Amino acid sequence: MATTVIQTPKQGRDPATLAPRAIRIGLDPILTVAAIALGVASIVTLGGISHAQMVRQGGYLAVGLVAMVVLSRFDYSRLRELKWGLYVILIGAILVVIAIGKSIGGISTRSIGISVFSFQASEVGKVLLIVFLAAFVVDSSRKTTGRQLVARVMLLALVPTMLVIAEPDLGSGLVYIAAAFAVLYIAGVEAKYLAAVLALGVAALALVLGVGPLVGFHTYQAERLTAFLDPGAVPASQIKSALYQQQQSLTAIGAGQKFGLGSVATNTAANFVPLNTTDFIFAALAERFGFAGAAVVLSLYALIIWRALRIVAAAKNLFGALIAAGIVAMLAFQVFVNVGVAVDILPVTGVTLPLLSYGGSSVLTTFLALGLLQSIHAQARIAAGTKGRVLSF
Amino acid sequence: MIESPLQRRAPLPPQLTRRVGVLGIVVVVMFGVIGFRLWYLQVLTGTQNAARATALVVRPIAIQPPRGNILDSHGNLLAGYRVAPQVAIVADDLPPVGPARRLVYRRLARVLGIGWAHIRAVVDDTAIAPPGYAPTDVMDDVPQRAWVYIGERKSLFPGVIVRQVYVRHYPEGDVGAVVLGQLGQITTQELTQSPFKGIAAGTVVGQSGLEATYQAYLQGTPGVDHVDVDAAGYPIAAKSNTKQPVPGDQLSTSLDLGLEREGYIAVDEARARAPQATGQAAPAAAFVAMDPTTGRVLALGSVPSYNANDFATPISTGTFDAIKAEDHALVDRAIDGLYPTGSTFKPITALGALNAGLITAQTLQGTGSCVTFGTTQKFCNSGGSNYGDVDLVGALTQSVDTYFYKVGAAANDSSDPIQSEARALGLGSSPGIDLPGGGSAGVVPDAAYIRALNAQYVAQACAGSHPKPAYAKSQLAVTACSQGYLQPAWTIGQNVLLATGQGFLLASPLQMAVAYSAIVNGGKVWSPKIGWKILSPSGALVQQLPAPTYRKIALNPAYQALVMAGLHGAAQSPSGTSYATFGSFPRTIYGKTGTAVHTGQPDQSWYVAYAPDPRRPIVIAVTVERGGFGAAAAAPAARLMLSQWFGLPKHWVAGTSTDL
Repeated sequence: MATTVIQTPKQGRDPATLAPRAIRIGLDPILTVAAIALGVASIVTLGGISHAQMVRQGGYLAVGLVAMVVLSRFDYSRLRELKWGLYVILIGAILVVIAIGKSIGGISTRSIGISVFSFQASEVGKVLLIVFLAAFVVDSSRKTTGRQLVARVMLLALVPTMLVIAEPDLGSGLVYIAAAFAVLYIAGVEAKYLAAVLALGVAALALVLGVGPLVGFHTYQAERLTAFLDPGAVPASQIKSALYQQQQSLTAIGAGQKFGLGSVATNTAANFVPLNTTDFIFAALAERFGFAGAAVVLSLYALIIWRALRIVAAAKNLFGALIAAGIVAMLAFQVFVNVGVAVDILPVTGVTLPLLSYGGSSVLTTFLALGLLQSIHAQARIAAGTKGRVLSF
Repeated sequence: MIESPLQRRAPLPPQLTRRVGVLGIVVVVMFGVIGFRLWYLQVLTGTQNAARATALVVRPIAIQPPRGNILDSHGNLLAGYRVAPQVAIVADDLPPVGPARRLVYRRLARVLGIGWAHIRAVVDDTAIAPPGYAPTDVMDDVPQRAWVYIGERKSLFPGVIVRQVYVRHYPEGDVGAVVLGQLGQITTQELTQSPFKGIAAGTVVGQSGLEATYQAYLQGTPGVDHVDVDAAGYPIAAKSNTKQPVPGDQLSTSLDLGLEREGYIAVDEARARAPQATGQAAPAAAFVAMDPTTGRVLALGSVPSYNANDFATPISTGTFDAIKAEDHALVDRAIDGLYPTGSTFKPITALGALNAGLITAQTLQGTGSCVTFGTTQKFCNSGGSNYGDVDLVGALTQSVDTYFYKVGAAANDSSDPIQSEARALGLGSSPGIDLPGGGSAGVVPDAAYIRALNAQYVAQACAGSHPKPAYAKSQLAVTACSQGYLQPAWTIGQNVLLATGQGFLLASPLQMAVAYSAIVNGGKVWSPKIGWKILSPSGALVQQLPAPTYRKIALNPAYQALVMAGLHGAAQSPSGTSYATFGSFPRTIYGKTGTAVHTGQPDQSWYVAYAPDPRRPIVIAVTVERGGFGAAAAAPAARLMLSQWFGLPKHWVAGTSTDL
């Protein structure tokens, strides 16, 4: 580590915040441009399906963009002190959703109805949980052994996970687990503990989906999995509901071919693909813009994840690195699972595609995550500037 | 407890860079998997998916063409079409099986005023049809209010469509119903049969009568509407690529609508009057009129009838049961009703005997009221009359049974000349009319027939000298198996009965019309035809259907003249059996009454008439089941039809002759 220029800070303030203003405007340009480009892709895709949703999505994106810029100006490090507060808000919001939340699509209760827009606690909970876990790991890393740390982190992550799965929102629950896993991994926990956690996770998933139906777990999730693994084992009528979404999605995506059907694309627009603006928006995108369009969008995600990984490595402190790692896991997992479902290599789980899927909670959550990344990036630049660290792209 | 920023800063783990690298590799693998999958879906197999997607979005909906008209020989409409509001279901667009689908059924049932289980049954029956988008007809002639209601609330009725369709219309209703035939959805077996090849499942096709025989001409070619539909099956775009249906061609027939109508009126009159003569209702009747010089059928009918329109739309179980409850209303008795023909058979007996030399014009016989053969078989004239010895013309004129009993007895010792003559004139084999089945063959009995009958029954019902278990309860089978036969071997008595059209003889009205036509036209035994020409929808000639064919038999003109004299005498000489009916008729008529005796029920009335007109010759065969004597029911019915044919005043003129 480079030696510090300022030896004795007088006011207990991080010297980074005292850095010259020019350096403090530190939005990562590639990250920003990629996020805006994805927002444009979302609006264009929605425009082919629902004008009303396109307009509202534009609003969400604008609000999210502002939130990202604002958040990038704050030093994320302050959040460490608020970790328990964040955790309480996270658990409380999920509990409120379960208690009074309204139902989307008649099955799951994921959001709290607030007159203007219905707010999905489990979405924003992703960011809250990542920040909390990162802070918890940082504060505990010097006091506890690796094994204890892993156990505590996983337990703390499992509480909200089980709650959102009970909503039921299996997708968000899986994102929580993936993020927790990434945080632990980047924190330097020994590989054997992580392997044990992985094994436990697989076992838990098998338990939830395999034994769950026997004890009253929502059958539609088990049904989707069974239908995905063995279409012949499910009665035709149920296959229709369980596999229908994916079949229609596959057909639409395939129909897009190399360069897409453009405005002729009607499979997704005509509601053949259910949830065509949220969980299956990728099908709409791929049908209209073909392999070329899908590849461009996936490349934008790859750009964001690449920048996020850079930020992990360049963070000025472990807290920042862990937050960034959690966000990498969150984004990569959501993209992989959402697109994986749409192209029928994964069972239907109900995960949104960051920035593309229609919905205020999802868009805002993603921009909050990106804002945190920007903040970590900015702080790293400031720290590097003050400390003389070399930051290269 | 704010720590100094420097203290706050936890050390970055040394392996951070490596672990970030691993995380990066994991992400690259994930994106790689997705990328390859997309490449496979969109670039390698995209074309197939594009075709599938098109099938989803652009739905072909068949437009059934109107069926071609069926016309009589003057161009009068016997079967046409009309436009009816229809409610149909596209099974694939219904909600999944379960409460949601039942809800749609219930809702629809309430609006249409029918049972929802019926809708389910209709859909389930046809859902297997391979092109799943063929709409299944739920109800035609939907009340206007219900039709509009459903059409305006499509979101409440996913999978339900309302549309206008062509429906077969039979303006004459009951008249000629069985000749025109019935329509019905093509059956699974029919799909693979030649006349129906290429016709889509769910299509309504002719199932009987002329509708079936000339199906290929009448059907037309369905059109296709390519409609862009959304996931709920509703059109979302203007109709595109509509291929208009091609209406079916018209079938012009040799039927005469006026004569056809009069035939039904006449036999109904005969049935209505039957109770006065016999004390019982006459359940059924049939008639055939044909041109003996051309073999074309002029009228053909069978009662009880039914309203042909009942089968033009999916028939309700109740209506179908009501039709079935009517003594075999769906059977065309004119071609498939097999009866003993009574004395209308006597001209055939006469020709056979003349050919065999058993009698001559001068042969006088038949005195006495009864004749006895052997020791026990005694046959008498109806009512015990004694006509004295008569010649052949007299025997036919007065229908003298004893004369023909003796002929029958004599023929039994010869080589079955009566049977040979009957077969030559078309009895015992199908007439080959252009209706499904071609008409029943009937029975011309002889010793071989009885032997075959016995052998068949014994093989079917008996195991040794005891009946098979299935027949154990049948007294008939017990007796037959113990004695080894069902019917005693052929006896002279059987031939005596055959000579007067009784015994085992079975023939249809059509066969009698064909036989009489051959007698009067000099030996042409016709395969009669109803279909005449195929016309385009606009009336242009498309195709002349094959003319009726005939088989020429040897008919000695002298013998023919003798029989004709007898027939003319029977109709129009004062001693003739139908003189009361035709004596005053202003046309030359040849005719023969027949009274078929059925044990335990009133006699069956027969009449076969020939009117020799240079332009409009006609042979008419009429039979009325349980109608009484031939002169009482069938002869006056024939007179009504002949009056219609020649444009004469129509009067019911019944005779009282009790001759058979």
